[in-house]
Amino acid sequence: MLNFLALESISSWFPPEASYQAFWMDKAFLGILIAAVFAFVLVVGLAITFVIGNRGKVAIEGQEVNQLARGLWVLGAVLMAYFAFSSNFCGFMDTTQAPYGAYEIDVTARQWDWEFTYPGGHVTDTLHVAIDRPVRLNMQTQDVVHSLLIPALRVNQAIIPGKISRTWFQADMIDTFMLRSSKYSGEQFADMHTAMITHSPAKFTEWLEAAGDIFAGRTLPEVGEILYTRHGCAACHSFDGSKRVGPSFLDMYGNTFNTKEGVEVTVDAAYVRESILTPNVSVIDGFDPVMIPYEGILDDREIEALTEWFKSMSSFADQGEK
Amino acid sequence: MNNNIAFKYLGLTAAMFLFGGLLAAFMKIGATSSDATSQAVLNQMLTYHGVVMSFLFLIPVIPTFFGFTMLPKQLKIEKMCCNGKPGFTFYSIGSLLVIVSAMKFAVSTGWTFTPPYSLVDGGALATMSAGLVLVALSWAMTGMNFIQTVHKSEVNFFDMPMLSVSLYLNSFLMIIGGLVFSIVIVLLSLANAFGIGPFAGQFSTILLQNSFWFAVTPLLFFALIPAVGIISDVIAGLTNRTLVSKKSVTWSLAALAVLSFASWGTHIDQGKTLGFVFSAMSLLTAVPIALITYSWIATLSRGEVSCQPATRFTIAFLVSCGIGVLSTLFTNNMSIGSYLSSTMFTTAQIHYLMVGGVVTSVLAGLHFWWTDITGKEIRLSLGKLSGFLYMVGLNMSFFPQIIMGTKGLPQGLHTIPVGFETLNWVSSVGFIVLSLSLLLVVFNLVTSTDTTSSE
Repeated sequence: MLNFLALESISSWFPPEASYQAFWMDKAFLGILIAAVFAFVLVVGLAITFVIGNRGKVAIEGQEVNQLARGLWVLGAVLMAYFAFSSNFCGFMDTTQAPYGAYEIDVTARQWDWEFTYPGGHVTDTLHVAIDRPVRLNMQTQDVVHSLLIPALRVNQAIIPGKISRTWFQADMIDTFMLRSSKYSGEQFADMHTAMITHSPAKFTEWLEAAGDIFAGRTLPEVGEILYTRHGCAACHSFDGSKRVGPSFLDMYGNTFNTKEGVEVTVDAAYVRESILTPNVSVIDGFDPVMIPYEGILDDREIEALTEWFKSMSSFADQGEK
Repeated sequence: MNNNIAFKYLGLTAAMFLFGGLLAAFMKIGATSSDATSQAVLNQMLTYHGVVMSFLFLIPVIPTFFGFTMLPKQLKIEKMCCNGKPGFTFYSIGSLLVIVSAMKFAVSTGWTFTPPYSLVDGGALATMSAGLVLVALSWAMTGMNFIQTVHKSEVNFFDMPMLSVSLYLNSFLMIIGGLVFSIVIVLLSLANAFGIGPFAGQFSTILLQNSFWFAVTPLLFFALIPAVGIISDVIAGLTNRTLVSKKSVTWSLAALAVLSFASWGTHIDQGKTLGFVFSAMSLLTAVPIALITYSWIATLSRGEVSCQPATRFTIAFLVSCGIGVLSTLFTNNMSIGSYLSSTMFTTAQIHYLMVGGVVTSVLAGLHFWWTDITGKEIRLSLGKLSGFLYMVGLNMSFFPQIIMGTKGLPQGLHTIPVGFETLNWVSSVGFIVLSLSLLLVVFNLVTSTDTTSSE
């Protein structure tokens, strides 16, 4: 497990400051902390001094109040409250409105993982951003309330169902940071964390190009498995033999099935292609014709990759080659 | 006599405190052991820790015990307006239902019941909500009893001791807050069971948060009003004089009671304008709090302060409730508050306010008035020792959580992430010290001996 925050030392109260917004928030925190410690020492110190120091002293009679002292005391409290109210006011207003031209990333939160979609349509489960460039996150939840917490950026934005919650930041430190949900959301809440990886602008462009091309450096079956995850095939199709809404992909390629109409089909490249693009034409017996057509979503190369992936996990693979 | 019902209440609230405390202990053990408690079990323990401690212990503890014992004494009347038995019945059946729900239909929604998460498992909330509604009714009954009793008394309102004043003001909070709370909880369990009512559906989050905190902020956070009442009377008693500028403390408590209904929305995500309004409303409490502390310090300054266990607990109150109140300066700042929301910082804050404020004041009051109430004498040296241990344990338990929060650790994780082990270890040791000091207090009170005074 990576120690994202480098938190070994107790001496520092805060994670690293990876944006100028974090810097200003920490400054405000320190300011209020000094005021609070002063008030605390004053009240508790005076109380302890009087409890210990007044031993054996003759009591002062009367109830008259030193109006000046009380006035100053209350004025001090009011000033402290005003200081707490107004500290980093501009910093807060700054975080509510992203600058024009910010790089936009769509965030989907669900029980219990994150999905980040970049302008080109590329999807990742870790957040990659370029430093020195404002990034705006448009966040939606698919189920319950979540909250995006990136301690190093001092960002903690609740994601409420039914609306798009927005936040923005400008990272200025190249590293890997912790990103997690801070709103309790059920059973696997503690596992709802991932990483935010910051790159230099040049490296980020490079990364996006490389990552955007899923075929680069991968064999076709590997690409097939990525497509399986990315397009949510797992909702209906397993690849371990268990039956879900649709048939399992294990030992499917090359195998022979009966369709609903009683026609015998052997799963070959042509049948795979047909079942992806127009899935409800020829349905294997025992399943309902409920699949969404992937016409226009998956291209030829991607279908080929999926076919190769099916082949790689079928013991009948050679029969489909005929 | 009223003492009888008061001790029944004290026994039951103490049992609830023990139950909630044991849950906290299990969570601590679970988080550090190698085979960690699963998140599902932790969620249930967390939910019941919050529900039991807030609604079955913190809200009723001061009014029920100190109300029924001290109110007649302070108001110089024979007995309370009502005997409090129906309220006690409601409270005990309600608590029983909540405990039964923990055993049979354990809820894991978190004690703030935020939908849509709290809407899963249809019908799961029913038993617990039935219990909570009965408990809320018992708050309202207790509140009406106190208001009637105070109105019946011959003593002028501004001449009353602060505990009576604070219980009178708190009664309004318990009635209004309790009734709104029971409406909210009934509507929520309807949404949970049948999918009907205002809280049904995906988009009821903000509505429920507003309704819930409108009811619970006065009840829970302003359970500090009677705590302030106890500490004011204890300070006056320790110095053997009337509180300096008592009238300003009375008015300050009234102001806090009013502000408690205007500061519910601080941590709800509903836009910056409302955020600033609630932030300002919460920070306005600085004025009454300053007036109260000024009066305390001025009272302490004017003569000898008797040194006894209650003195230690009063200092412990100033330290821990002081940290709790000052920590609200951070959470009420819009920028810092949004970062710290639902992190361990807020956990530490609520514990500093509720344990450091409410529990400490209960202990101060128990030590100070024990002889008055029971006619028995406690061991002074043991009381002082437990007071000292209590303060050490409390701060060791909860101060590390403040740092965990600023480092960005959210609430409610079932394991301790890498880098937080040392802080968690300190906090666990503190928890043991705190439990030990509370055991000492119980031992001291239970074994207190009859005074040989002429009675």
